[in-house]
Parts: sequence; C-alpha cells; structure tokens
Amino acid sequence: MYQGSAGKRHGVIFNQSVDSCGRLLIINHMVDHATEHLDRVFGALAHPARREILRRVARKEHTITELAEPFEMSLEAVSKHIQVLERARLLRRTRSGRVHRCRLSPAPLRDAAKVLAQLASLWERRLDSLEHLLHELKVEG
Amino acid sequence: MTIVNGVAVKRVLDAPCARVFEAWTRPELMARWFFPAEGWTVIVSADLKVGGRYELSMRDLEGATHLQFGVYREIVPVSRLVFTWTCPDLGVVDSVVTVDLIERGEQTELSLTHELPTDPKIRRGHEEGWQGCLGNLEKVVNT
Repeated sequence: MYQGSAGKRHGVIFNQSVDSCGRLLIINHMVDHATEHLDRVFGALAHPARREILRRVARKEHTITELAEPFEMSLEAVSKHIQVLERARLLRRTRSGRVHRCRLSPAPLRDAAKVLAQLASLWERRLDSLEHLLHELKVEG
Repeated sequence: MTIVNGVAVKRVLDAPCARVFEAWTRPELMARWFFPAEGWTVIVSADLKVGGRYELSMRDLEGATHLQFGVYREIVPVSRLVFTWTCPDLGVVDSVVTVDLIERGEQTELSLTHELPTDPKIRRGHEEGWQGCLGNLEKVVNT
C-alpha cells in the first residue's frame, strides 16, 4: 500500500510531523482528481432545482426553455444550474442551430451511488463491531 | 432527514450513552471496534479536543496499511461528536461524520450521518495548507 511505504520512507528519515505532512502530500496527489469530481457531483446534487432538472432530462431530452418553464426562475438562473450539472458531467448539451438540448449523462451518478453504498456498508459493519464490544464490556462489568 | 451527499445510519445499542461515548473517544476502546473486517489490527491515536487530530492506522490480513484520519470539530460529552473523515482508500477527503447519542432508558439510540464534501474549493484551501507543510519539509531537509 502506498501509505505504508510512504510512512516508512519519511518516517525513518524525518520526525513525526514531517512524516504526516509527507503522507498527506502523497495522498493528496493520489486522490485529488477523483475526489474533486465526486465533490462536484455531490455539489451539483445538493440543490433541489438541479435534482429536478436531472429528473426531467433523465426521462427525455429537453431544451433549456422547456427546463426553465416549471421554475420561477430566469433563463439565466436555469442556465447557471445547467452549467453546474455540466461541470459535474451529469448533463450533456447538444446544439442544433440556436437550440440547446440537454440530456442526462448517468455515469457519475453510478460512481456517487457506489461510494455511498460503500460508506453505508462500512458503518453498518463498524456498528456491528461496536455492538459486539459493548456486549463484551458489559460482560467484563 | 434527507441528505443527498451522504449516508445516515441509526442503531439502538444496549449500553448507556456514557459507555457508547467512551467507545467512540478512548483510543484503547476505539482500537477494539473501529476497523472494517475481522482479523484487522488498528493503531489509534486521538487528541480529543476541538481541532485535535485522530488517526487510525489499520493493518489488513496481508499486512498492508490503510489510513483514516481527521480532526474533531465538535465534542459534547456524552451526546455528540462531529469529526472530519479522510480515507484515501475510498478517495474520500474531508467528509464530515456526526454522531448523536440519545438516551433510551438503559439503551442508547445512535444516529450517524456521514456527509461528503460538495465543494472542490474546500480542498484547494487544504492544498495551500499542505504546500505549507512541504515548505516545512524542505526546511528540515536543508538544515
């Protein structure tokens, strides 16, 4: 594992605080791209209007004007939401002449769902272990 | 509660809040449950104060090390604990875990939410901090 070897590399030569700095830097490089994208996806999903836009483009392709209709929002405001979704790669825009059409791009949703499922199962397992420990402590008195 | 950027887990535990809080905060007790699978070992350090750091260095069955660490943000004995959570293996950096303990007679209702960050800018702030760290490293190397 990279953390283990990084720990050794810095740990032997430098002191403890430098060791954790070195590790942080290496970790930073390793995870930066993937996590930054994940942040964007969750950031995009964090707004109810953007979730509603996604629900609608998931059903069928829409123009920006159509997407703006149910909201009490300017076209500009809706365009901003669409840009946020585009940056998260959750929505794809195609252009024919002056008409922009939006459709769902589902792959990032699957990635996000996968991470959430991992977290949920991790906590369930840890809470199982916690229950086990609490039982042991009770027996120990 | 609806969270789109995280998970919420609830569990009723057969122990009073004080005991559960101890299990979450005392390193020697954390080391007895805070690992993902049977047979793993974990070394825990925890500086239990707001801004203090905790670190779990977990060793799996093949001997590989897996890190998880963060900083305490809120500590309310024996009812609430909020801390950041970074797990490089999962690619999760600076997420936030909130643990609430509610007394239910002799039992404790535990609610946990784990929220992932929603703003890449937050990380840029940290990168600057890490750049500072790198500066320190250079100083040590050059002296």
